[in-house]
Amino acid sequence: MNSSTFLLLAGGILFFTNLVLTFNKTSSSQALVVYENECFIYGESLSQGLIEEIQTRAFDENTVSGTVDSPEDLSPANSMGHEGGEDSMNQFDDIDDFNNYSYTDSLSGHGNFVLNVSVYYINTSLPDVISNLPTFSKRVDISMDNPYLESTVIVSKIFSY
Amino acid sequence: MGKAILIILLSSVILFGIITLNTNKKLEQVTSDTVDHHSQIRARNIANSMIQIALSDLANDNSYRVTSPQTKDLLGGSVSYTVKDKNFAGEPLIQLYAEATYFGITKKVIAYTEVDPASASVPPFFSYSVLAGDDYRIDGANNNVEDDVNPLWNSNTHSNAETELTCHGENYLQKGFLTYTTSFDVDWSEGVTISPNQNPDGDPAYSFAPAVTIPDFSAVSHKNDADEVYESDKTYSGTITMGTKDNPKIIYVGGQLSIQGTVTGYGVFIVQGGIVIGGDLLLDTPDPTESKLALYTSSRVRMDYQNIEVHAQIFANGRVLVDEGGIEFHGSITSGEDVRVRGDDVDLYYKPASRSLIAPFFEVGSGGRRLAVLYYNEQ
Repeated sequence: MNSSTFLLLAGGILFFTNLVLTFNKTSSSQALVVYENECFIYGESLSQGLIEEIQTRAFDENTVSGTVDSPEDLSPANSMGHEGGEDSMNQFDDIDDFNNYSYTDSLSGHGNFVLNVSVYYINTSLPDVISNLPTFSKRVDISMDNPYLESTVIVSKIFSY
Repeated sequence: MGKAILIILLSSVILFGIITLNTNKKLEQVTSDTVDHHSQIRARNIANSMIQIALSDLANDNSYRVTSPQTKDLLGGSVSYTVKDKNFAGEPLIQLYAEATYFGITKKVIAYTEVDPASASVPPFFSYSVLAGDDYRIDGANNNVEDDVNPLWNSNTHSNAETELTCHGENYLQKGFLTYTTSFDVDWSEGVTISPNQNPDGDPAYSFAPAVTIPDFSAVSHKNDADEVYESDKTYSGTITMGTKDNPKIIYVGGQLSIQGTVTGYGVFIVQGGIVIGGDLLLDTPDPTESKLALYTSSRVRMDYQNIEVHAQIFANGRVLVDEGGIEFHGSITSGEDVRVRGDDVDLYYKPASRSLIAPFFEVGSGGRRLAVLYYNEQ
C-alpha cells in the first residue's frame, strides 16, 4: 500500500464516518419531528374532543332549565366557573363551568398532555375582544402542553346564545 | 485498491443520499399532514363559531340578514358568511352559511333555522298545509291548495309515502312546495300547477324529501286536561263557545264527535273516536294569522257534506277524508295515515296552526330566544 492509497483510504474512512454520523443525526432529528407530530395530533385531538364535550352543555347556568332575554340575566363575567356541588366534569351543566378546568391525559411513550380551559365573554361584534360584561357569546380556549412540544397549542371556539 | 475505495465511497454516498432524500420526503409528508390536520380543525371551529355568532345576531333581531358575503377575521383565520331566506325541504327557513379559511384550508358550514322564533315552537308536523303519514291523494277536478289570503305563506304538502294527483282532465293548483318520500304520480297534461308563493332561490316546486315524524295522539291520556268531558258520542251544532288564546277551552269526547256550527274564541276538541264534520264549521271572528279551533283525534276525520266551509287545524292518527265536492277548508291537516280528497272544486286554504292550541298536547319548542338549528351540514 503506497502512501497515496493510504491517504485515500484514511480520507475515505473519515468521510464515511462523517457520513454515518450525519445520517444518524438527521435520522434522530427526523424521528423527533415525527414524535412531535404525533404529540401534536394527539394533543390537539384531545383538545377538540373536550370542545365537543363542552358544546353539549347549556350556554349558561341560567339557561340550563330556562331561557333568558337579556345578557344581564347571564352569569357575571367575574364568576365564570362551576357551581357548588359540581365537582367533576360529568356534573358540569353549562359552558363556563369549564373555566379553569384542567385535565391530564397520557399516551405511552409520549408523556403527559395537560389541558387547561379558559372561558370568557367576548364582544359579539368584535369576537377577538374580551368583554368584562356578560354578552350572548362565550369563547372557550383550550391550551395544551406536552413535554415534547416546544410551544403550547391552543384550540378555540365561540359559543353563542 | 484506490479505485475500489472510490467506488465504495461513491456507492455509499449515493445510497445514503437516496435514503436521506426518501426519509426527508416522508418527513415532509408527515409534517404536511399534521399542518393539514391542524388547519382542518381550526377552519372547522372558525366556521362553526361564525354560525354561532350569526345565530345570536338573528336571535337579537329576526330581520337580520346578510345577503351578500361579508368577511371577518376570526380566531386567527378569516371567514366569509351570509344569512339568507331560503326554502329547504319545502319549508321557508333562514340559511346561515360560513366559509372559513385557515392556512390555505377551507371549511364550509351550512345551517338552517326557522324564519320566526314563534313559529319555531310549532313542531314540523304542524307546519304543512297537508301532511300525510302515508299517501296523499287528490281525486277530483279543479282542486286547489293555496294560502288563506296571505301570499307570504307557502301552502306546502308532504306525504311520507306516495303523492298522487288525479284531476280527471281538469286542474290542480298548489301555491306551495310539494314533497314526497316514496313517489309522485301525476299526469301533467291534466293542468297541474305547483307554484310556491315564496321561492327566492328557485328551488324545485316538487321533490323528494325525508319522511316527517308524526307522533301518535292519545285523547284519553289528556282527559284530565279537559274543561268539559263527554265519555261517549257527542254532537255539536249552532254556536260553540270556547276560551281565549292564552287559555283555550279543551273539550274531551270519548266516543265520536259530530260537529258543525260557529265557534267563538279559541278551543280544542280532543276526541278518542272519529270526527265527522257534517256542515259548515265557522269562526265568528277569524284570526288572520293562525287557526282558532283545533280538532285532534286518535282515530279518523271525515268532512262529509258538499259545499261546506270548515275552519280548523286538524290532527288525526288515522285517515283524513275530504269526501265531498265544493268543500272550502281553512287551516292545516296532519294525518298519521293517508289524506284523501275525493270530490271536485275542493279548496284547501292554508293557515298556520296555533302554538297555543298545540302546546298542551304536543312537545313544542321553548319559545325562548334561542333559535333551533333544524338542518346542519359541514363540508
